[in-house]
Amino acid sequence: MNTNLHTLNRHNRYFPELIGQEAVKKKLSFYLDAFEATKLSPFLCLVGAKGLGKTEFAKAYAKNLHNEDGHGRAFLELNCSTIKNNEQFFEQIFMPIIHDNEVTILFDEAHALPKDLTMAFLTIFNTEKNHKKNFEWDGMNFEFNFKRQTFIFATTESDKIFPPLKDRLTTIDFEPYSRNELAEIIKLCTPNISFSDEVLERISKSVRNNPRNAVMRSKEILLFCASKNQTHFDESSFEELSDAVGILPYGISFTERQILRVLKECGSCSLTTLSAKIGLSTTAIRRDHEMYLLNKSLMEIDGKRKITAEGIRICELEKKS
Amino acid sequence: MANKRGRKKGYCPYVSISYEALGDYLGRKGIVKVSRAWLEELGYTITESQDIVVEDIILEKQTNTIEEESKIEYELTHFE
Repeated sequence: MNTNLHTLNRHNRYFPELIGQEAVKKKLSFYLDAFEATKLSPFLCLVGAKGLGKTEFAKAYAKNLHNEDGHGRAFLELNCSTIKNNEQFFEQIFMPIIHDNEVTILFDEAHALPKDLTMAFLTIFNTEKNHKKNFEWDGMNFEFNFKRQTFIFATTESDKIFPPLKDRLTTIDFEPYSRNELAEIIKLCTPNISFSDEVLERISKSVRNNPRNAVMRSKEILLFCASKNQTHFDESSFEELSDAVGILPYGISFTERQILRVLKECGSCSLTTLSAKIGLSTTAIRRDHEMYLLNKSLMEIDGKRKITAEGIRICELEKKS
Repeated sequence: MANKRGRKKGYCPYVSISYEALGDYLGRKGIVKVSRAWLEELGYTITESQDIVVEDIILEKQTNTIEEESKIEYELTHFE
């Protein structure tokens, strides 16, 4: 019991502003404790669906890393899809920002790293006992000092990272958020607004399991309450807000609603028929719209696409309103 | 009835502008693309190096555009 409490306090000390992802917090707290003693951090790779908070956690982790003089360590966030090759990376980023400096670097969208830089990283991150690594490229020598420089990677598509590079990284997996955690995020983002438990449940149901959507929904609630000059948000407020900004049950999109309507009319149909009726490509339907409907058990695929009883209920609800 | 297409009657692709007025926009060293035949007509002898100068300018512009396009996106945060 005491040990659990101690662990929880330690998580709160490192990540006081972040809700949920207890397993991630636990693992990162362990590495932060180790960093305090050794000044070394493993090369982390944060893996999870979009909007789960990978960047937020990377930033919070970096905020807890300190330079040798005790000052906060700078945090450099790079979008890998904008890196074209080694030359560009070493000229624009390594030499002016990383070399000889104390800095934490986040390679966001790491699956988009160019091939030659991926190969360079295979050599650079192949460390055994030494915390320094010299990398020679194009006749020049670049020194990496892992006590001064901390490297973090983040991706939504870990399968696209070159496996030998993935082997050199420590993977941190993000989990989906529970409804309670999403409700906590909404409450945290709307500090002066009060909610009933029922309406909080409805709002958190509408954010598609996604904390980023929860933050955006909170902003809409703040705008709504400001425009009405109210500090309490109840069921009727949510109805009014839903009508104004187009929030559908389960937070489904208008295209997803259209898919449910087509399936309700047809009974069951193939992906090609669905694509013809909706006017979107089969890939777009499969990748961008079906997944969430399947996740919420509003439709199912059993050879053909079918609507479930809950899907039908949603369509009926829509008709009534 | 068929739509009227093409240029209006009396349209001319050229306009007249004084050398002084053009200079106000381009400066004395501004590069202006002119017809080779017209320049030769004026009695000007075109050397090979001038061709290169023009090509160099175009190339330089292209290189600059590529460099501008390939900047790595990053954000540097300093924690207090």
